[in-house]
Amino acid sequence: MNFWQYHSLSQWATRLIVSFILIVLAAACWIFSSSTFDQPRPKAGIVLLGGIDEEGWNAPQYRGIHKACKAMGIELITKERIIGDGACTQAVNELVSDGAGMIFLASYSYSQEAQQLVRQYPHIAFGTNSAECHARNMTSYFVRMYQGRYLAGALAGMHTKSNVIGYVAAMQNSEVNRGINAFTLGVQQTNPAARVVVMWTGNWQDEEKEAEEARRLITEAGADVLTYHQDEPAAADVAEQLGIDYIGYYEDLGRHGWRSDHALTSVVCNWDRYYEDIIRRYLKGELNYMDKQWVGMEAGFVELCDFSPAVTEAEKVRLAQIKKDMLAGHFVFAGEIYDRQGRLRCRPDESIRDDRLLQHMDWLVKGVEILE
Amino acid sequence: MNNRKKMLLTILMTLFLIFLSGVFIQQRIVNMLNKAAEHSVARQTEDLSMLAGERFRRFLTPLQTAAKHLSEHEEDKADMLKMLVQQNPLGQAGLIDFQHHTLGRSVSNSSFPRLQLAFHGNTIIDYNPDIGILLATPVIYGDNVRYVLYQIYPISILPQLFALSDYDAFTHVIIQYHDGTLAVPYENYTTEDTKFWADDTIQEGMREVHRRLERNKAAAVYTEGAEGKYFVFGADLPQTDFSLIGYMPWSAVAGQIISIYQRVFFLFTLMLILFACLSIYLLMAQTSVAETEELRQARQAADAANQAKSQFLANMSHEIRTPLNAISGMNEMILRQELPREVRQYASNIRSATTALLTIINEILDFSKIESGHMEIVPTDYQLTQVLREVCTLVGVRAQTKNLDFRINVDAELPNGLHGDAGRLRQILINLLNNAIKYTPSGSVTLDISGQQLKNTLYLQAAVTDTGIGIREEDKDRLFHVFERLDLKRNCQIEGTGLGLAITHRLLTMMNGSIKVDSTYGQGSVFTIELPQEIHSFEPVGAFSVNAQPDLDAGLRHQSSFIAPAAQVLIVDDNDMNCFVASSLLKETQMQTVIAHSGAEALKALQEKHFHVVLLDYMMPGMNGVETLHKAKQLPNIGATRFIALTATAISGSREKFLREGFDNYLSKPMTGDELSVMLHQYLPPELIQQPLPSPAPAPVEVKKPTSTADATPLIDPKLGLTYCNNMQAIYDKVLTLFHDQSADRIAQMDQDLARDNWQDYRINIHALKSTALTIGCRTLNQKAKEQEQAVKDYLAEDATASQQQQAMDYIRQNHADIMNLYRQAAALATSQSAE
Repeated sequence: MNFWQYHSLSQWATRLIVSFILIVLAAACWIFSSSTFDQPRPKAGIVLLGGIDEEGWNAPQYRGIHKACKAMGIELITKERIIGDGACTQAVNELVSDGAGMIFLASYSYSQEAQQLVRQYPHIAFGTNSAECHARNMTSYFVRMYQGRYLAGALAGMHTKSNVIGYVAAMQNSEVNRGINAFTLGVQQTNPAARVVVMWTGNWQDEEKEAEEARRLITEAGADVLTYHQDEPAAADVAEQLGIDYIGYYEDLGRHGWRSDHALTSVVCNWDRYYEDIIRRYLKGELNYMDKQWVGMEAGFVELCDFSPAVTEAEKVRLAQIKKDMLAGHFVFAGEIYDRQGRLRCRPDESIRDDRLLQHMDWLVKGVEILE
Repeated sequence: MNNRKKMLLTILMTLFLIFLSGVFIQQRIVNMLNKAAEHSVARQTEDLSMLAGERFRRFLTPLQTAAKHLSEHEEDKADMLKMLVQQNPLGQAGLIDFQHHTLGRSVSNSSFPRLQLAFHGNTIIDYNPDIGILLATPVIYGDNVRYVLYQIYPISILPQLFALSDYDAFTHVIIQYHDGTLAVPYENYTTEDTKFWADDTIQEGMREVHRRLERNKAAAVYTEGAEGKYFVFGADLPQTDFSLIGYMPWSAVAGQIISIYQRVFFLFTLMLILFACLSIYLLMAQTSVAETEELRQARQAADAANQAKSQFLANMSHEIRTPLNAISGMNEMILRQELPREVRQYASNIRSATTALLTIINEILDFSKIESGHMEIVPTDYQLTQVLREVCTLVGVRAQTKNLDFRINVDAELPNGLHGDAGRLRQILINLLNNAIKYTPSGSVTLDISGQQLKNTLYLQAAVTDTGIGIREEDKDRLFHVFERLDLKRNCQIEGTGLGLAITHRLLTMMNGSIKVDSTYGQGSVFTIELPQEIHSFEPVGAFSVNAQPDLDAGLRHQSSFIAPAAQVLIVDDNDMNCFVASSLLKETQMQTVIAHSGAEALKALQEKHFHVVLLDYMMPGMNGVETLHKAKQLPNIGATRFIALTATAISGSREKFLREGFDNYLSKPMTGDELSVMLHQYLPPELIQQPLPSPAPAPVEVKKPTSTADATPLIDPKLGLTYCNNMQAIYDKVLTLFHDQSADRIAQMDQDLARDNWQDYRINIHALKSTALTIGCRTLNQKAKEQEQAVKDYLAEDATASQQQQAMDYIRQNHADIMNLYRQAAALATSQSAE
């Protein structure tokens, strides 16, 4: 072996050792640089009855949760247009296998189907809009929308000339009843002489029926202020066409700009803040500690959106005063309340507790009329 | 060296990198350990928060029980309040309805804004930093809430009731309201603690805790600042607006972690040391490899240089020997002529000069051979006496010319038949003796041969004693150094290479011998060698005499005096001069010589004709001697042809090499005519060899008569002859024999030349006769020949007139027969004299 080879051999060995050491060091650095405490990014899923672009209920829900997830830095998986038997189950299964730790069933109609499903996944936190089904890992979420209804009723009471206010409602359940009752109590606060006429469509989404009933309320019952409790603003469209004042629900109807001043205001929920709150509670592990989380005006979730020019300053001042009182402790469902049958539902020194409001509002307050 | 620096740099860089990554990893480990600790502290905090929540619930239970009782027995309001206070005297109990009518401890909505939320049907806990904590629960009648039952715990007693100081010794927990006000401190909370919590690092840690609480049930953060190392932690209490915060010292949490960390650190340090050791080892290995390599390289370079030197010497020897061959050959040719005395003197000077030059070349060659390890010792059986005689013959002449007394004493008891390298022994003895003669201006040189016999080995001792200039004590050590000559000032006129003793010394060493020197400066020196030689015959040397061996001289000289007219000799040499020298040298043997100038020519000649002996030069352009030989051996009918290599390359082992290649023998150029004759005599078929005498058959008959007539006066004066032979009888004898042997030839030649008017040749021959006659001590013949030569010269003189020429011619013809007769008589006499 000649000198050159010797030379290169030893150099080769040196290089080998040096690079080996460097590799070991790099590996050591790599091992120690990757943190074992980084938890995977949490994921949340939402199941929606309609498309995420359908105004009314679905789009604001989606916008809200999307904004909240972005703010909280978690991933959102959306399942839209989940309609029909078994569709919800399938959607939930998919969400679970995709790694969602928290699933929102964003429709009242899912609650029955989900009841069984929720128990199958005890480690997943579920949220539902229904107050009527329960599970350890499911929390009923709803907003005290009725507080907004009460304010809307107060405005309608002040605004009506005919003293007839139309109300297109989907069906009789605690939620819808609570809305009608709060609205009526609000009307009675500002205009004890006014009547609230309710018509049932029997469906959350049925545009024709809704339009038909809205028209009847105006023409037959003579309502000059209209509101509704449906997933779509079909009733508002009719009122707009007929030149009748109306108050929207769920969404800011004036948002699109094409509506006239007849769109007085809307009862809206700041869904993003609402979802942010839920998600925070989920992350803090509190979600499954409690079976309900019911917040409203005091947290800024529920409010009336910007008024149309048709609402007078006096009305606005009055509404502001009412809102102030409410925040100070003037409960909607407190004090003397009778139902349509004349039965005393609440003594003057009492307030109706939340359990009842959520689950057992199977009565309508005195002063509500039903148009068959 | 550069490499070493590179290596060092690499190691330093690597160490630096290791240090960096060590710092990095250490940092990471500390961070990770703290993270892990934070994690576990957060878990603890979670438990703690549940404990705290539990504590609040403990105080809620009696309230709720009372509320339940009241919802059925509205009338027991006052009793219930009384009972509550009894049960828990620290809590001030009260009852409020939706219209703010209070019973018991009065309360305002503004001080506890959450109180009204109880009217939704929920149990609440509220805090007012000025008043204290309020626990409230609704009293339900059917679907509705009619009253809210509450208890207020004032600030002063909060630590006593709610403090979590009993959790463990190290942990300090505070319960905070959601707006950041301190609700429940630990029991022995002092201003020191306030200061602690106000510390920037702690505050920063707490902010981080609160930031994390946004998304976590509980959080803990490691802080390191002026206050020391701590974990601060916090958790929200479920279903209240309270959170608990606290701190614990780092050591309480990380006590075990420290030990793990220390072990890791230890391990890392160990690895570092290990690496350092490895690096140093590598560096050393690298350096040693490099050094070994440098040495190896140097040795290789030296070897190569030495090889080149040897090659150069060998080449030079060849280059020098070839012209030297021509010079000595030509010179010998000159010497064979009848020459004027001065010319002969010049020619013999040339001979001694060439001989000296050859000796020098041989010495240098020998030395270079020894140096390059090519010198071989070839042991053979030999006769000690023979070697000694050869040495004495050579050295004796020298000593005589310097008028030195040369003596030799040989122990008669020594065994004669020895086994060893006789050639080298001869060389050593000649070297030493020549040296002694060289450095001895007058006096004697003595060779003493003795020895000690041990089993089969004779430790031969040879002591050369001279009466020369001696060697200074301080010079003795340098005596055997190469090229060094001592005492230069005094010895500048002494010729020689300075290699003689160095070669002697090394040859002796090679043969396991030794040499020592005793010398007295100015008086003489004794060189003693001792040489172990195996004994192959125990026959003793007996009385040794230099002249007691005529065989050798006969062998040496006699062979030259043969003729072989039928012998066919092929001379192959690319050098014309060499060819000419060889053929000239062979001329007197009357052999048929053919000359070839190359291997190819030689092969062609060999195919055409049968040769008895081929003299084949080794170094030839194109086909060299060996190749030519191999090709020639394949020719048909070549079996009887003998091949003798001629070479000027006198590298050791040449003989063996040539014999191995298939040569019958080899001759080293420059060769003498005698060597050539001896060689040919040996290899020519015996039947071709004739004695020269019988050939001129009639001559002796004619000679006989004058011989008898000449008896009266002594025709040959031996004394005179001996003076021309350095007073050496042996040489004189040889000269006489030679004279006799040549006579017939010469006479025939001269007769012929005369008959053919070949005056030039005749003149040369008569000239030669003139000198040879004097050499044998025959003045008459010398005188006659001289006169005759003068006559021839006169005849040949350019300015000679026709009459002068005629006169000279007459004289020549008149005297020719007489001279020839005298020549024959002298020749006959010479044989008889030499035979004595």
